[in-house]
Amino acid sequence: METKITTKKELDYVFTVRDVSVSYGDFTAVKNVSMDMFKNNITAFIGPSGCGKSTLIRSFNRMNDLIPNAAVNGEINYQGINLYDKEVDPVQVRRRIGMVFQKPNPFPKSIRENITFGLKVNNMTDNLDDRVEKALTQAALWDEVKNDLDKNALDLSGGQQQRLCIARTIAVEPDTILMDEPCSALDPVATKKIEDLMQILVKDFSILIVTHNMQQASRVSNYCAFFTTKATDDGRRTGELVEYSDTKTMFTNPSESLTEEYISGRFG
Amino acid sequence: MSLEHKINNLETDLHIMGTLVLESLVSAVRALEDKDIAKASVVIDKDDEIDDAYMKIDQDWFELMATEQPVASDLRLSTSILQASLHLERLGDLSVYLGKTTHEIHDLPIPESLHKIVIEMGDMVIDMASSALESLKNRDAELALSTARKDELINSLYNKMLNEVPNISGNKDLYSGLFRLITCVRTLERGGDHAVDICELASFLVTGEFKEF
Repeated sequence: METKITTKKELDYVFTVRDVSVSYGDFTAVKNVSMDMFKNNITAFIGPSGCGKSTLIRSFNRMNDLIPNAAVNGEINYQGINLYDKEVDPVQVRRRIGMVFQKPNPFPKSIRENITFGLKVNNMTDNLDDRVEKALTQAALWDEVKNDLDKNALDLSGGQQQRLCIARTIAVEPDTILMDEPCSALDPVATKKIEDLMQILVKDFSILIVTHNMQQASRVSNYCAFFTTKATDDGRRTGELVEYSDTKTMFTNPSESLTEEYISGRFG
Repeated sequence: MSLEHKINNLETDLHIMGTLVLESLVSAVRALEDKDIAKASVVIDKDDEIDDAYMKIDQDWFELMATEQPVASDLRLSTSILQASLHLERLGDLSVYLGKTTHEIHDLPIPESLHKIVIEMGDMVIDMASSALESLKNRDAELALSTARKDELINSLYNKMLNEVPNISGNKDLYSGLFRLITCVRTLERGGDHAVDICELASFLVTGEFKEF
């Protein structure tokens, strides 16, 4: 996968998604999504609970492989490579496409070990100290922890823990970072730090963020996708992509009335 | 109070301000036509009401942005209301200017033909401002466009005035009045532009795309 991806570096899109549906057993969580996501941009997924945005983003680095009965239909191309091709190694996928979760989840180990763990797993053991410093610097955490690298990561504040998780993600040199509500457990000050960090990281990475906070989506993203749920014949609800556009258009002149109602707080 | 309610109030305030401005413009043009300095004084004095109405909209808009962060059509409407209120405030200032001009020229000899042109332009500005506000209120993009096109007539009257000036000969008093009429038509020409700007906002509310007329 790595070699193929390197040759596709010039592509403008990081993901091209074609008619993708994700199901858990006989339940379709999100269906028929087609969209192209730009490299080195921040794309936000917004929508009410249950619209499938987290399910979809988790399929972008094959996290759903870990869930029994989860099935992804359609095509998710990452820089020109079909992510679900039989020859593609999911471990490699997750190294290239990192993920940050809603709740900061550092390992109950030292700050240093949180960074070096993934490096060792991926055989990136040369210049470990330099790699630790680089990752923590990129995550805007280095100055706060450089004298406490052996301190337990769980002693950090929530915001610092989340930046450590970002550092841990970028230490293995991914191209893309998926963020699933990365600030929902953080206070406004810590949220501001993560949002500022995203603006720096996007120069080197492509970022996809799922957020319930529409102000956050409008502040941080360049492109925005709105999902909603629709009732199916069997009375259940399935997520669908309603509108995908640049963020300015989404928040000033959306083309779909459903989007307008949702972002104006009149629905959902 | 809901966001919808707050924006409705903002728009109601705008149209109340619009009514004040239209009344002021009508009085100012009639005062200038009749050289009625009493009426002109009332116009000048009543401008404070218009300024207060503008300040209220400005403050309420500011609070709305800070507390509600409107988006999409709410954002377009609330911002258009603020911008329209600024144009209305300037049209209020135009009335004051016409009122002051009435004071300055009421005892001066002025060429009748030019006086007529000024009044004709004044009536056109009233007509345009009134239609512009109606197009904004009714979200009528066609009326907005046809109203904006009337600005060409104001511009041609302005040019007609400038072309006639060299043919005027007279004494110092006549030139003094003439000079004031010329500055007056320049201000009226600007008044037409403010009406056009309000028409652009009306069209923006309908289409979501800002287009200069």
